[in-house]
Order: sequence, then structure tokens, then C-alpha cells
Amino acid sequence: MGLAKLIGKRVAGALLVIFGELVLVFFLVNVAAPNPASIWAGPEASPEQIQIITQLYHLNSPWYIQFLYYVKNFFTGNWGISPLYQTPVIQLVEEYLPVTLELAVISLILKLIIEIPLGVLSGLKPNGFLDNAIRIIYTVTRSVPPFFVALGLLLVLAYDVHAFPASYPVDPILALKEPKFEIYDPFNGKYYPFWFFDNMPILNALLVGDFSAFASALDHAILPALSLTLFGFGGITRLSRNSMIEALNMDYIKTARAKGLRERVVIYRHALRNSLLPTITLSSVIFAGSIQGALVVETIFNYYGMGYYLAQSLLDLDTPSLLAGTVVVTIVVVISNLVADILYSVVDPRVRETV
Amino acid sequence: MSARTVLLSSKTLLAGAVIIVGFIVLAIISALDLKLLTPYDPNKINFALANLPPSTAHLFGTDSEGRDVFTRVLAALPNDVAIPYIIAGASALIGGLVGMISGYVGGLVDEGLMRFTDIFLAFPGILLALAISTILGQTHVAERLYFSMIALIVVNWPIYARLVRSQVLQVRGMPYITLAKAAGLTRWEIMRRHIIPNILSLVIVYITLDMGTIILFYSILAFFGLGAPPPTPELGRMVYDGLTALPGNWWSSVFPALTITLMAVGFSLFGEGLRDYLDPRGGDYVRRANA
Repeated sequence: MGLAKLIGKRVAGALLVIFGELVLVFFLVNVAAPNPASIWAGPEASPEQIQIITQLYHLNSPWYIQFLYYVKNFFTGNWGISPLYQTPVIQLVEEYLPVTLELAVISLILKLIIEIPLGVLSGLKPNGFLDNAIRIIYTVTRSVPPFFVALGLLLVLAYDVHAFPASYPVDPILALKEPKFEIYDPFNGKYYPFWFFDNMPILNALLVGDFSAFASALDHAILPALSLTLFGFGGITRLSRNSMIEALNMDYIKTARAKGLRERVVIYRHALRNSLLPTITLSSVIFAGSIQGALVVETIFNYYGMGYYLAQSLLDLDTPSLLAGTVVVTIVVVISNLVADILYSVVDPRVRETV
Repeated sequence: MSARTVLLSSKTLLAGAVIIVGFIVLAIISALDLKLLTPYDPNKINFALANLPPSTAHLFGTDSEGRDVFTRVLAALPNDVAIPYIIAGASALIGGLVGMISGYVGGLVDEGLMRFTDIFLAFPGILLALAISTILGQTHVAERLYFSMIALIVVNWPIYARLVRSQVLQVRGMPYITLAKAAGLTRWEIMRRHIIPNILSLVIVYITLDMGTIILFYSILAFFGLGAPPPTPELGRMVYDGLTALPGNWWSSVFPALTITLMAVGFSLFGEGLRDYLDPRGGDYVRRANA
């Protein structure tokens, strides 16, 4: 099967998942919940507000009409108004999502550069001293809850040693978000502010050249990023260890050795390259896990990203935010899976045959 | 090989088993009579004793309302130990049923069920569970715990469906199943006598591996207040409540977090040990590479 067909199939699958999430969320709020209007309006809404909400979401219509409006609203960016912030939800998501994406990417990179070498080291001499030590470490770290890691780092490195700040994405005095990036719309001939990179504290500061903001943003991101890195730490190590062991037992390694290639070439050029392939797929799973771990980590560090926003919406029963946020995070997760799938089949052509 | 020799053959397996059994025993004693383990009342607020650091009188210190943290951890154990088992069991049952139907019936039923499963498999699990239990629990605070359990089952069953389906497909092609069919056994008989016993051990191994994750997921739900309703102590919620007392009073959040970690690590060690022992391929490679 060709690459194009594979991509088509994967995209269709991804769309199905997003649609499934929309259906599930819709049924959860508008059908399964005993009183949808009060859930949409928030716990402190007045009767007038509830009436407005009932009209706004067409809650008096039959459920299939409601569903059509729901889907239409979702795709037109009309995600409701947060009763907690009194702001349209889409604006809040635009503000908070990039912060967490940046954090998750940083922690994924950290994970890859720490975990893969550990796994390779472990796999080179299975059951040796180093292998056993690494295996014990990752068996333990893999099951540590995110709040434990975050608490430990917060207490030791922020409160005890004062090495890093304990909250905020940047020092509040520097956090002036002005639209700095614009994209050109050729149809209107106008420039529009582009929020996506603008709201990533580190990248934005770097691109704008504001180095005090950059240093501050980096300083504030280190502990949350490290917490996310240590959350579920060991998954990649384990995988690269096992695939390294498997690769080293393959016939082509024996051939390479028999040819008289140096051991370094055999290990790095032959075994390592093949054993790294499965890591691509796992990375997307890890990325999804990081975004969900951000719920806890950002709450503990008061790091104002999507995780913090979703956690607040959970705690304060801000349903429009929670629902839109859940669907948005699902979309991010689905896209990252999609990218991993496509990347994998580009790197390893054998996959295309089996789909 | 008897269970005893298997246990003793691997240190990780043994350590995991000791932790798991230890928690179960503590939870049972705590559920029967908390007074056997500790002289304090888990819910008695006494501001005169607030924020005391760990000492021999208060092993884990006291929280900002003067309650003994060690007592509260013990009082939370019956719920926090039992709930992951219930969730894992129910997920395996539902997923197993779907997987068996899918694998055994095949065809369009299989295609439909697996598409459905894949959609659930692709959702971000923790977040979906949080959303489900928050929304359904909004008006029923007392029943929140049940909604949380249902939510975790909803996000957890698809893995079992996939696992069981692939096993059924493997077993279904075996010659003895054809023979059983030729002998005139009904579908249900074949399923009960030949397929289920074959799959059961693998599912149990997978449950042990999965328990650590379920404990983590549940503790995150409890962290956000979606576990057992107050005044019942809840480990995850204790961590969250302790955050406001930081940095002075670190013990009221760190010790509950440590307890959850230990529970999850127990299953992780046990599962890892079990897999090392049972997975013939991984084991072979290791042994061959070692020789």
C-alpha cells in the first residue's frame, strides 16, 4: 500500500476519533446530565442567565437538533462563554494551549535525550550491573504519580534551595503579551496577529529578542518541564533497551560482525538505528501523557497553561471550558498520533506493506 | 514449578508481592477497626495540634487542621486499595467480553466493535475520566466516587478488548478448536472450555501490569476531589489539600503522595517480575545474550 493511501486512512481514523469525542461529550452534558442548562451556565447562575443559556444552546429542542448546533458551534469556534472567567472559551484556549504545548515539547525532548542513551547502555549488556540498576530505576519511576515528582522538585529546588521560582510561566512584571507575530491574508490584504507562537512564553521571548523575558521564562519552565519529564520516566528507556537487545540478536548484526566491521560501527550504525524506530510511536503516547500530566504539574507550580486552566475548570465546575478543553486536547493527541504514524511509515517502508 | 519457587526466583517479584500483600492486610485491618493501628481519630479537627512535624507521637505529622496524617493515610487505605481492583476487574470483564465477541464472531461485528474500541483507545484517558466524573458528579456529590469509577472503566476497557481479541484470533486457528467443532461442541462450550481458560492467565498478568496505571489515574481523579466524598480521607485529595500549607508543612502532602507511589511501585515490580518470568521471548534473548 502506498504512502498516500496510508495517510488517507490514518486521517480518516483521526477524524473519526475527534467526531467520537464530540458525540461522547455532547451526550455527557446534554443527555446524561440531569440539568444541562445549569451545567452549562455554572453553579452560580441566576434564573435569567439559565434562560439565556437555554436559548443559546437550544436546550429546548430535541437532542438531534441540539447536536447539530453543537457540532456547528464547535467547528465555527463558538465554544461558549466561561462562567468562571466571563470570557469566550476560544480566547482562553488560544491563550493557554501554546504554553502547555511548549512545555510538553521541552519535556519530550528532555525525555528522549536522557532516556534513549540509558536504554542503549542497558541493552548492550543485558543483566549486567548497569542494566539491573537502570531497570530498577525505571520500574520505580514509571509508576510515580506526577504530583509526587512535582512536589519533591518544588519543595527541594524551589522552597529549600531557592534555585528556581515556584510559580508563574514568567515573572509577572515581564508577562506583557502583545501581538508580535502577524500573518498576511492575501485575500484581504491585511495582517492578522498570530496568537499561536505569541503565547509560548519562551519561544516568543526568543523570537522577539527580549532576553530578560527569555531568561525568566526559561527559569520558570525548568521545574515544570522536569516534573513532566520524570512523570512516567522509563517508558522509552525500557523500549529502547528491549529493541536494542532484539536488534543485537538479528542476523544482519552477525553478518556485520563477520564482515569485520568495528564493534562501534556495528552498534551505532546497524543496531541502534533499527532499534530506534519503535521510539517514534511511543513518543506520541508520551506526548499525550505529558499534556495530561500537565493538569497536575501546572496546578502545583501555578504555571498558567492548558493544564492549569483545565484543572481550574474542573475544580470550579466551569463546564464550557472543561468540555472544549477536553476536545481540544483530544485533537492535539490525535494529531500527534497521526504525525507519529506517518513519520514511522516514512522511516520504515515495511509498515506500508502491512496496513 | 510451585508458586513459592517462582516468587523466590526473582527479587522484584518478591518485593512487589510483599508490598501488595502488605497494603491489602493494612487495608483490611483498617476497615475492620482503625483503633488497632492508631489511637487517633482521622477526622477530629483540633487546631491546637495543627502543623506538628513528624515525631514518634505523630509519625507523619499533623495537617493544618490538627488531624494526624498517619491515621488519615491508614483510614484512606480501604478505599484506595480496593477501588483499583474493582476498576481493573470491571474493565477486564467488559473489555474481555467485547474482545471475545469480536474475535470469535468476526466479520462485520468484529470490524464495527474494533472501530468503536479504537475511538476509545485514542482518547486522552485521564482527561476524559476527569470530564466524565466532573460533569456527572456535579449534581450528585455523594455518588461522585461511583461516577469516577465508571469513568475509569470507560477509559480502561479498550486495552482489554484489543488484548483478548488478538488472543482469541490466535487460539481460534488452533487445530484442537477445529477438532472440538468436529466433535459437535456448541460455540458457547468451545468458548467456555477451550478459549477462556487459554486466555485467562494472560489477562491476569496484564491486570497486574495495568494496576499501577489505574492507581495513578485514580489518584489524579482523587487529587481533583473526584474520589470518595469528604469526610472520608482520600490519599490524592490529601495531597491537594496539603498544597495550601506549603512550604512550612510539607509532610501532610508528601506522605500521602509517597503512599500512593509505594502502592503503584508494588504492582510495577510484581508485574515486571512476572513478565520477566513468563515472557519467553524477552527471557530467551536475555539468556542467550548473556551466555
